Amino acid sequence: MNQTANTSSKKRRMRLPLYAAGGAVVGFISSAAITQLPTDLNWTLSVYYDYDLLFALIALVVLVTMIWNSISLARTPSVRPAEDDDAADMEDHHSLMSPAERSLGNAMMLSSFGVIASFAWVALALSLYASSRDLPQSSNLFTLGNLVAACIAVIIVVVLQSVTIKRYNRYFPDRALDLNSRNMKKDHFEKLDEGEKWIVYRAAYRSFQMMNLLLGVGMAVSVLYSILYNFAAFPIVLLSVIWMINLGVYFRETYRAQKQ
Amino acid sequence: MEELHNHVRELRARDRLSQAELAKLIGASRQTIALIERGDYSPSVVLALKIAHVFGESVEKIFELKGGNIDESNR
Repeated sequence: MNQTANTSSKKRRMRLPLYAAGGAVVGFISSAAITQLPTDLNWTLSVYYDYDLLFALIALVVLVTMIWNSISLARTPSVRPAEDDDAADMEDHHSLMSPAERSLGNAMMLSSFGVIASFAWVALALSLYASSRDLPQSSNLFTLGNLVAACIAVIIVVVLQSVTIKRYNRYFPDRALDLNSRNMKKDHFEKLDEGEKWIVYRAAYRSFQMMNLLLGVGMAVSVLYSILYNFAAFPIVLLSVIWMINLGVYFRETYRAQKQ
Repeated sequence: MEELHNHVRELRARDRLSQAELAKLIGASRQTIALIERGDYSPSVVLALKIAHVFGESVEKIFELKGGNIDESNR
């Protein structure tokens, strides 16, 4: 009973940022409708150069994930502790992971975040560089420097991920991730036992549900963007296609399972 | 609704086996044993039979359905 009350209270607290974001959007739309906006208002995230603030934010995200990843790795002993050393502590708390395994799990997750953020940085920097060749030299220097910094970040993040995966493989040699395999994730999944596969299925289904929700939110945001600024068809079409593929794969898999 | 309950934890304590040792004996991971003991995961028939074999008990003695409308007379 008490646990149920705690869960609903936690859920309510988790919804607060959503309500705040909803309030901000409603407030922004209503104030934009009432107030006359200056024509020279700059909506790009910029201070000195075009989008410099956006790139600073991405760089900060990459830096934070790198540092956090390194800290998590440092907290993970280089050699896996004997299972019996952790067993008593874990069994008392019905935990699925030892503290070392948890640190390693965090490092794996953060290295993935770092790789995604740094690749997004390179993609954006490359797009900006390609689309701003005719800008003044100072801006060109910024876009070029930004591109070089993004490439360096990718190299560091990939090296960090490789170190993290090597540590994972040392911990779990029976289900090692093969970096040379084309189907690394699939091969890794095949090595899991039934309980671990069940965890992956459950996580994948929750991720699927969250994707459906986020694609809907993304589409609503794109529509809002079109209403407030310029008509932007591409993001809406792209999100619709991704949404259809997401649902299509789900229905195809359920149909195939029923057919079998 | 019926729920699957199990006595894996008690039997493991009886036989002085750690989760890791039991997992090794049945060819599963320690995480799977922890999931089963917590009641989060219902093992496959194969795994249930392997667990029963390790403890030298029948599957029905280790795993049982509780709650719901299980009426012995309807069996």
